[in-house]
Amino acid sequence: MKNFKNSSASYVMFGWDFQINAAIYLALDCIKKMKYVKVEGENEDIEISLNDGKFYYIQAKSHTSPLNIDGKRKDKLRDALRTLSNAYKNNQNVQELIYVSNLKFPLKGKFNEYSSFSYYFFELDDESKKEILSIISDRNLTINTDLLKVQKIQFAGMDTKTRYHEVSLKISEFLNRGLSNIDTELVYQKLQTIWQEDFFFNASVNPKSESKTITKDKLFDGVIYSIFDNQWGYTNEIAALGIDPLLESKVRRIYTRTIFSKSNNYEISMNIINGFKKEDNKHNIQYTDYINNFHKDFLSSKLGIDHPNNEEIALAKIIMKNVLVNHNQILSVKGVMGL
Amino acid sequence: MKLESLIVKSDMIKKTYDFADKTHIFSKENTVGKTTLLRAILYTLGYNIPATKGLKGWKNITLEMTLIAYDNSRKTLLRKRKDEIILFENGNKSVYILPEEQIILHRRIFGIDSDIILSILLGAFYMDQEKGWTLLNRGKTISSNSFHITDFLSGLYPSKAIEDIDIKIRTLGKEKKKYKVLKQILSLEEELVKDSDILHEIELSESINSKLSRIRLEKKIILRQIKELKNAIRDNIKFTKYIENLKLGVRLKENKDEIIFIDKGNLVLPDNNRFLKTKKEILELKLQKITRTEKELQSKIIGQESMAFGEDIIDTYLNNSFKDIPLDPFSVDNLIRTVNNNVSKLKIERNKLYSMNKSIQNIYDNVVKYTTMLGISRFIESGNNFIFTSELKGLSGKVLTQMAFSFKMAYLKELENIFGVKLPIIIDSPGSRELLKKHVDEMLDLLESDFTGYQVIIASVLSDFNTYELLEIEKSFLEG
Repeated sequence: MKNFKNSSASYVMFGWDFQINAAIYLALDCIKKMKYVKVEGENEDIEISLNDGKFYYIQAKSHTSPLNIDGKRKDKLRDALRTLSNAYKNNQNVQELIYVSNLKFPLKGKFNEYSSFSYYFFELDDESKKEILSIISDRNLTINTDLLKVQKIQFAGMDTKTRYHEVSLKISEFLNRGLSNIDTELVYQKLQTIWQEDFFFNASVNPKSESKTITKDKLFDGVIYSIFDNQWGYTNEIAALGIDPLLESKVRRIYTRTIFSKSNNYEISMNIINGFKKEDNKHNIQYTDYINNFHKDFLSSKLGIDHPNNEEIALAKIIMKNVLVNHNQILSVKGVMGL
Repeated sequence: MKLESLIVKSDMIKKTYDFADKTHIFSKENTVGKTTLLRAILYTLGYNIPATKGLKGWKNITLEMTLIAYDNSRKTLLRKRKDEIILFENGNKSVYILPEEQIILHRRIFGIDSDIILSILLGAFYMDQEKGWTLLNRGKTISSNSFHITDFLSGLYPSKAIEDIDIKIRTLGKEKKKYKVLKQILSLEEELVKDSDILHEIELSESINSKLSRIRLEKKIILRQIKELKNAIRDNIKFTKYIENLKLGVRLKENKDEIIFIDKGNLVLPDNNRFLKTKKEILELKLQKITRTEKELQSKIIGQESMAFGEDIIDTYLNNSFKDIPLDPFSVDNLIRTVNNNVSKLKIERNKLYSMNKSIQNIYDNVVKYTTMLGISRFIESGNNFIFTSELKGLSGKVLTQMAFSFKMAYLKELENIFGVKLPIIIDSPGSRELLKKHVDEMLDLLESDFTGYQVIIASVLSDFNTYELLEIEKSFLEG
């Protein structure tokens, strides 16, 4: 993501940036029951459709200097409640109405100055409740406060690491629910970039267009990409596979393209996955043991090598490991995503 | 071997210095020219030695030295120029070009038949006032002259196996340098192509042509990757169709009458194609961006008349150079790591070969003997590996100085042992490093008892070295 300098155009870009990152953040909160998400939808800034047909309507308000602003706080709250009210009027099949903001104090009550939060209306302090109720009544808004939620996401600064800290944490926490034995740092950074680009593109599409929706499957594509493309990860298993780390890096260097094409070939992948499943059903074995026992069969049947040298053995083990680890990771994430 | 005299000529001045078997170059005050005289000796022997500050170089000075070489022949060396030395012997004259023929000259003087030892020999017989007293087994002797114990040992017992290893190590060193340069180029490359918009944001002091070359190189790689992805996707689709065409039927345990035929709809496939398609989409987007930037750069070039005659050398270079090598800094990092590891392995192998070298024990025994004589043997670790030590920290100035002295004397003894030569021992300012007169005397006593027949030349402000002939410099090196 680009940094935006202080200009009127940059305020708009910052607003978009907040919106798409809030969409990622909130989508991950309900990923299991989510069907699709739209940024800049017909009814609201962010619309999340759930499997049961209900919606989360989310109004996002941000400021480029959220730590200093105070004067416009009430204006932003008023605007947010108004649009949420309009959305609710259009469709009452709503799970939650959410006002999400990056302001230091989005509400009248001065709490949680330095952290993100998420509160239902009934959980708020009296002062904040009173202000919201008075806006609803003054403006004659249609809002069911039982469905109302106020969420704050820390999102500030020109430094992207600082700005995206909360969303990075959310993505990393999501991946950690599903992945094991993996350097998630590499994966989540890649995933964050892909999702931000997807959402950014999505936000600019006409609300009525079909490509406006980001389905759960589309989000999953990003996950698959991040995991499969992480070919340098999983270094822990190398020792268990009896490969000298130096030999491993040499083989990866020389056979980069072979490893890529073989690891992603259906016939080869299915052969390895099914071979492992068969053995696992019989003896309940670790995949590293499977590789150590069967790499010679694989070399002979799939790569046509009967008398392998050390490099070829390492090559076979790396391909088998890639296939099995990726497959396993993907299955776990599918579980987390309810796919 | 013995140095007899040095004649120094400069414009109107001519000064002759004669050297005895034991010479003490002395001056009442410091900075008068003792060190300059020692350096002049070495310079006349053909070494690349800087003159001291006071002299402002060796220009306009002619130096002529007479010496008795290893074979008892009398030789005279004449050095008028930095790049040439003339050797006179029995009325014959030979010219040696320096530094190219320095070793050939030294073979005739020192009688040591090992080029590798000759290239580091100075470190064994000369102790410079600054670096000499901290140099045990590796480092700079003075200026561009260095000493390394492993080279020294290779020369004492030449081994083809060690030589081969040394060649390999040197080749790997060169390879590593190349990879480092390549990594720098690729890191810059990666920065540039991460987002082609970045080209608008950063100002590099390079031509549009070379930016264009980088972009084209990246484009070429992306196109190749997309092509490979398309092939991989197609292969997987083909495989799915192949399975469908087999018309495989599965009879379920629960309902044996029903047969389910395997088709695209019920075949559970791994997620490879989803990955390949996403990767392809991402690369296609990147390609769009890069193509846009390429067009912008191209139109800039067209707008620049000066480009009309420019042949894009960098483009050609990049396209040719990167054809068969891994194209990311990470892979290059791995290459560097591999090189480092291979070097370490070779060094271990070399050390094993060294352990068969008898000189190691001889040198170690002599170091123990001399440090015992100087009363510092408690600082010696047991095991002949100690002669390779790099643990100098913690040794006080006095101990370190005497330790360095002991090492050098052990080297000289081993040279005598192997080649039968007794080199002159040239020592500069032994008393200047926390050493009292009695400590210097201990070292001279050691020379007296164990280095009979060796010529010793010492420069020192300390007076009263009993058995040494005094060579006093009163005014300066040139004036005596």
